[in-house]
Amino acid sequence: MKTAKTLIYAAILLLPSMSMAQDKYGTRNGEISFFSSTPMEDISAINTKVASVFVPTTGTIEFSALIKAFEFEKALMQEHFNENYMESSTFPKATFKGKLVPAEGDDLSKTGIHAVNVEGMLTIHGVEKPMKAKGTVEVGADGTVKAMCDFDIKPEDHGITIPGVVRAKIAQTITAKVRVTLSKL
Amino acid sequence: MRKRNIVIVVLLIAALGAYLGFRMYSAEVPNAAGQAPELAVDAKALYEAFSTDERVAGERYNDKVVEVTGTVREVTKGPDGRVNILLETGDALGAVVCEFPDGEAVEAAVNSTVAIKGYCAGFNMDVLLQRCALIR
Repeated sequence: MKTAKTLIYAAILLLPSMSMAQDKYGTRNGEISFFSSTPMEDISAINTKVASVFVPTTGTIEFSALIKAFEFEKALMQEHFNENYMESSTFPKATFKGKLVPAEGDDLSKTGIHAVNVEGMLTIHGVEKPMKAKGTVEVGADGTVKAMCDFDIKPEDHGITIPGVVRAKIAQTITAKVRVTLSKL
Repeated sequence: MRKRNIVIVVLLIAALGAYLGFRMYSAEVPNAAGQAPELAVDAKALYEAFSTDERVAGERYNDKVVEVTGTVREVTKGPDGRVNILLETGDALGAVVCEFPDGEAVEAAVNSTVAIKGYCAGFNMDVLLQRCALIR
């Protein structure tokens, strides 16, 4: 009888922490856009179908974006991006696996705006590279989590070679913007 | 006189070339509306093909206008205002997502059967068709 009682108490005590540990947020409509600016040409593209999963208690976050789902203003740009640079038929996705690290003592499962350091591995064009950037996480009272981060990418870091003729049209560093609104899974 | 004619012809050809070049350069990404589908498949079979072997399915479907038939699971509007029709796949985790062009009003009732054509972009949790058009 006593053991049964202890077990029930233990279960009650453990319940909140268990449900916290299971809290996962996700979306299939995340947004990643990028922008390249040179005196010759401005190029931008957006992907609004990014899949992402986030676990606030551990800070673990993952992104997966289809390269072919990046949309450009001009058909020719999109074709060159897919066929010549990203080789999207061979490397269909870009992924990020990492962590959002809040400031000392901050807790990402609490409602409010949190400044975070984004740390993890970014895979583009089949080449994995460590990535670090600053980001923001907004935990809403409505059960949604908004995460945003801007970071720079160098195509050469991911084994993407841009021929001399067009090199002047594509910036050395390309700015990527990530904006996702995740809801409880 | 003959020299002048040659100059005029050369200039005309150059102007035509420049015009065609500019048109090719500034052409927008095409929508599936008005394009004949290259392949036709059931939503469930399309999803199964990608979840079984993404690479093989990608070679078959990606970048092509694919006509897909299926049952509407959900109709959503993205933060960008575009309509997405999610087709049933038999797997609660994944769908065939058909994204319609910006500003296009599309109506489809949940549980109704529809045929949609769109450019296949691959598999990322869901199979994605972009720049779609409703066939019926």
